[in-house]
Amino acid sequence: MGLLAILLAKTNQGTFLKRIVGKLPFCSVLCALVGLFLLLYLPVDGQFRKTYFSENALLPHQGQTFFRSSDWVVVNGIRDEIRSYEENGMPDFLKVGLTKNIFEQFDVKVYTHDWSHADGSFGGTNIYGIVRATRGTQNEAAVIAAPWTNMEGRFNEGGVAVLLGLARHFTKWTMLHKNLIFVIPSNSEVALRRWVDAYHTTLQHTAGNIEGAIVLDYASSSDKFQHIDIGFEGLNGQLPNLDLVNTAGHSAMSEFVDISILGSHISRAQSYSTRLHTLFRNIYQQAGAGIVNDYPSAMFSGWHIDAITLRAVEGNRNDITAFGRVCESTFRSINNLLEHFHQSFFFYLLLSPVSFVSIAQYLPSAILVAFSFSLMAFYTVFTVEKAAINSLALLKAIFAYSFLVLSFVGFGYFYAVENMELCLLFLATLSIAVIAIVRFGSDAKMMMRIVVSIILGVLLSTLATINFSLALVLGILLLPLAFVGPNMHDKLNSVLLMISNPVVVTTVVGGEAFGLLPGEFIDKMVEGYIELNSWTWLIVCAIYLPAWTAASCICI
Amino acid sequence: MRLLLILLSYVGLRICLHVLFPNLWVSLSSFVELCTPISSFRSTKEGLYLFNQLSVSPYKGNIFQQSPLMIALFTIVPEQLHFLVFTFVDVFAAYNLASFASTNMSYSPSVVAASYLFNPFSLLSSLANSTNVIGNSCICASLGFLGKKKAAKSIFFFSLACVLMVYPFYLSFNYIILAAEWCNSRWYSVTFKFLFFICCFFTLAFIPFQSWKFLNSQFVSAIVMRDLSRPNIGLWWYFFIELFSEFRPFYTCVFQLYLVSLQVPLAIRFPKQKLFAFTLLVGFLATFKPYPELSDIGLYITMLLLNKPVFDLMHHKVYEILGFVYFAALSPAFYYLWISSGSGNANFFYAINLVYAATMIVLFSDHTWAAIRYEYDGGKDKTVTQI
Repeated sequence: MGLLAILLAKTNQGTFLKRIVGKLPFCSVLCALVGLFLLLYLPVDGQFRKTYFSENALLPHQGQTFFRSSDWVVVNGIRDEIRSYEENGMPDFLKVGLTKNIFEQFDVKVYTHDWSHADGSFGGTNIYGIVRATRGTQNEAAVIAAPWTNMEGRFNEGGVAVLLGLARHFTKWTMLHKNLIFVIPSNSEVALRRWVDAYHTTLQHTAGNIEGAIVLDYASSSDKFQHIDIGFEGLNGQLPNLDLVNTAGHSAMSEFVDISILGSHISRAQSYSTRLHTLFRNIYQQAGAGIVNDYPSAMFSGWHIDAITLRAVEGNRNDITAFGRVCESTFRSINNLLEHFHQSFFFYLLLSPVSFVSIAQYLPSAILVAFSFSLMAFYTVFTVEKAAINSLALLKAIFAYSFLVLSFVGFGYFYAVENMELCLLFLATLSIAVIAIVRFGSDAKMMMRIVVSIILGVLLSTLATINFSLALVLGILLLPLAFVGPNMHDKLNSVLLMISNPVVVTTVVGGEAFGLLPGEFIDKMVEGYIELNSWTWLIVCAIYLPAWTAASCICI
Repeated sequence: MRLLLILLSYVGLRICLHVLFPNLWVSLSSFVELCTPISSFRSTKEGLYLFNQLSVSPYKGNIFQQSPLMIALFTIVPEQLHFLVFTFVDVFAAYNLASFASTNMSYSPSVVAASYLFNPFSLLSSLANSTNVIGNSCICASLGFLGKKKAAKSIFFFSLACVLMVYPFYLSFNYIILAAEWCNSRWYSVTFKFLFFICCFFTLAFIPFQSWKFLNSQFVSAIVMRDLSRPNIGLWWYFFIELFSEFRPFYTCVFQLYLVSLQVPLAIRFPKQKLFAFTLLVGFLATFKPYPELSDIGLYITMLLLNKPVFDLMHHKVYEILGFVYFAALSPAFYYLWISSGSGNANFFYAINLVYAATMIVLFSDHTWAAIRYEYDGGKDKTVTQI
């Protein structure tokens, strides 16, 4: 320690430290670039691992699957039936009643659940049937769900038909350890979300803890499909256990069905570019969860449920019963579980159906992006004249920034719940904070710059542990702010503030990534918060908006 | 004047928050950083309900592990005013620290009071109604009366803190020599008064339920860490949930031995800086006791300000503050990943506890270095790097 101190004292006297400090902005850019480069490096051979099963009890596809030709007849019949409901434009209550009848014909106990939107208006009716386990303790369950309309809003006739076929199939099956719940929600997003919430809070007829959920999406009238696409991203950065995704993939491959991940390439054709594409699909889905294009399995997030979506992609290669068999086999693996999924990874990016990178390999890239903010904070600390660093200015900056964050969060929250009076109140406190920061002295502005950089570094790295992709995307979008400050060149400041401007960002991100106009994009985020309890909107309000506002205020 | 303003603004803030969000404490007390099973106001309420509504001894079962004096206090005070108790003890503590500060080489009284009331750690724990705040306030009061050279009152409050919180007992050795020095009295007279007050308070604690059961429920469970229902920011819980029960007595002894290992050496090494030794021990116990929580850290950080020359000589403050900032952000995040989302596990949360403990250890060594540096030449020579 003494030696180190002497060394430090020596470097302090010389120009060594100064030279390092002068290089810090460059290091900061480098840090962010290395972070992004790491991401591109992940799909290179040798960087990722092959998927494997950690949980021995799963025994994926160890038994003969039985959902075959006799069930084909049933599925076909049911499909014709429900197609006639849809084609005749039958009102919902009639459709629900008739579907209940089908369940009852198979001796499945069936119930309904009326759901409403967050504002209290009636939304629709979900149907769910429970097949009780013939063995076991009745306190665990698995869910198979098929929404009436899929994530693109198309009529999910194959999915519902296979679900009903499976319901008939499993009532005759004697080896159920877990109760089996069949859910037909009226749509793939809010309706399913409300059902999951209600199952854990208000529903009268329940069947125990849900250990796993499979959502079926087969939105075509054809008997044949090309391959199965697996969707797994949850809301707020949650992922199902990797074992569940593997089980579904393994079951499909054992049925000679090709699989793809999140609408990317099928398992057989793999190269660097396909893996990279799949990697970006992971990030896109995770960061955009709760906005648009959510796989319905995301609706199970937040209740300790591992859920995946099986999506049939149109084509001519496999028979519809193969879709049912994959579901049957996956369910039977869940049925084999002795304890909740816990063995395998909960943090991963899948590069193909059979290869993944775990958190230790991909987390550094988001952390490095976050760290570039911390480096710029150090740079400011070291370059500011010693006289400017006083604790009063620092306290002022900390107080003003916390006030700004609180105002933005309050504004965002009350905007979302449509309480306009309080929303305006917070808008008023917001403008007070803005005026206060604009009128700060130069030392307080400098301190503000340090506070903003440090807080961004801390919050982005914290967010990276919960929602890697959102932290990465926010980090990249906010990166220009790290180099904005009262002591920087004016032109540089204005360019950097322009490209990280909320209006520009919502236009570009909303337009390019989701194909939405800026207004729609914000509405979708708010809707995701209100209806689905996805936090993206609040995170934007708490991290992005205050940081940009503070950064632009200190430049004036 | 400025002190009065600070105290009044704190009272105003508390009343505003109570009026606007009457259930704020319930949501805050679900943070394991702010409340432990032995200091949670929820369990106090549970005890109150058992005692007042059901007329059952609150020490039946393992729900209530606090002092009978708590029950007495919150029974006397009507329920609507419970939040005022916490406001009052905070203001009392801040006032006493400020009055101690005015008699000592310290930062100005108003800075000390503001640091105690408004630093996020103690403010949040107090808003979470952690009953630990009451004990901390007693320690502050004992310091305040030390400053006024009123030995008896000071010892009164210190023994009250011991009976309320158990762990101040571990400070008693250093407190006695500190009090003897400040009040110019003999150590045995201080010891005698201390023991006398302790006996009084134990008798007082005996009266409400006419039983000594609280000794088991309060003292023994605080020492052997009996209640493992919630994790906390300390280093104990992780060991004790993993251990086979045969090994628990052994590890309890080892961990407790660690807690009592510093008192005498510190007193011997720093005979001239008894306040420093006392302050360091407050922080040390706050980090390594079985049920640590952030209110103790708030107290420790404020007590650092009471010794301005030493505080000014500490030279890693930036890193320590950054450590606390990262801890404050990551700890709830990892707790969420473990408990709420189920994606993480206990190791996540414990890793952050280790970060916290490491930050505290850096802070302790920095603090000790500053004290030694002060002892050496008062910090005059800037080039000294090794002593």
